[in-house]
Amino acid sequence: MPKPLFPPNKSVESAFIIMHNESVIRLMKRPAPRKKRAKRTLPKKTVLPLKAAQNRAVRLVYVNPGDYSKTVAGLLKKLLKQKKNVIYISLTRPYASLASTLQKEKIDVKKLFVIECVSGPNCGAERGVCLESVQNLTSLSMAVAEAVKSSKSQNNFLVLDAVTSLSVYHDSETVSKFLYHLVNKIRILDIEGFLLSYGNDLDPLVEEFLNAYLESALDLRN
Amino acid sequence: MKKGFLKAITENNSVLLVSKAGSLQHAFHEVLKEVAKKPVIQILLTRPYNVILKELKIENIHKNNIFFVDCCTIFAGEPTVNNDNVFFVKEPDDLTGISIIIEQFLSSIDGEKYLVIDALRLFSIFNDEEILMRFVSSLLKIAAENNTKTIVLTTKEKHRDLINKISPFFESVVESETSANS
Repeated sequence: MPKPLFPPNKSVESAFIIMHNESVIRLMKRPAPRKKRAKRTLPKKTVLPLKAAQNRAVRLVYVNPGDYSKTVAGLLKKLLKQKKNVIYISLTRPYASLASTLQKEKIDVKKLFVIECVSGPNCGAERGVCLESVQNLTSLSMAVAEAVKSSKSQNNFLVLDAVTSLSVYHDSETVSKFLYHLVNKIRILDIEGFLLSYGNDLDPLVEEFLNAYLESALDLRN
Repeated sequence: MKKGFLKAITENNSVLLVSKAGSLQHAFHEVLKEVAKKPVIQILLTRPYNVILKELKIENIHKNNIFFVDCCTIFAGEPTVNNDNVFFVKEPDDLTGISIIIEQFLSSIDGEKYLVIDALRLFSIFNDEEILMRFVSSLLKIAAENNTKTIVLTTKEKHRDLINKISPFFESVVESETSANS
């Protein structure tokens, strides 16, 4: 018969052996106060949530599909200004298209670590990795972990573009389980994140699950 | 004066706390602040153990009386650090394993105790609703046999299917008035 994990009928004090693990009990690092207020380049609506997101939160961000590229570029610009090391997972657009859009918005794409899952192994990412397809979620998860662990920055920020695209390739249960896995990983690795969603077509099951699981969602739709 | 759900926790043996999306974390902290003076077994579905430790420190909640059952860390593919304050479950669909660890904990400690589940809704991604209902029913039975109060948190649903199905198992169902900013 297996030995019980807890000694029977003992007091709480003796039943628990409390261990302090210094490596896991670290206080949240707050960014240093900015000396000079950065010039506002985005609408107020977009700026406020980013400030609110400074407490290592993982949030679902709804974006209007009509100005999706511009809004995402604006978010990235803001994150880079905050000296975040942005890990950008592109499930929507190939690297060339992404680089072109960001160039128009005067964003240096080389500042992003891009995990590209659209155009196959020769996607052309100068800083990042090219994955075979959106279908291989295990590779995607491993790529995220590698990107964070190889980064020297303490200010990593993951942007998943987009949850809606995952639902095109996988059923809602698989998407929910993958996001549960990914968000837990993000939290354990102590980084922040935005999970982007465009339009109003996010799978209801996935949406309900994310609402139950994540910090409050940000709605940037008009 | 105590907030509605904290009063319900004091007065009932089993409480289903329905929180707004985005306020669950705050409600969870409020519950732990209330119950952590006594032994607590906490099932973690929303946050891994190492994240919860940081939150408890920030919220000034003593962890000494809390035993955690972490359903997140192994599923996220991250290494686990063994500790007498935590048990790592492989996947949230291992309801049998979770039940066994809860029963062992509850039967090993005398006096009043608490069982807290931080987000029942997340179990339904990994388990059929019927199995989940049987699991909840079984936990409430184990808790009642071991002088334990049960608090289950869940988020509001559009169609309330799960909430409507499991509500009859609980002595009290409380809609949390807590907002994320309060």
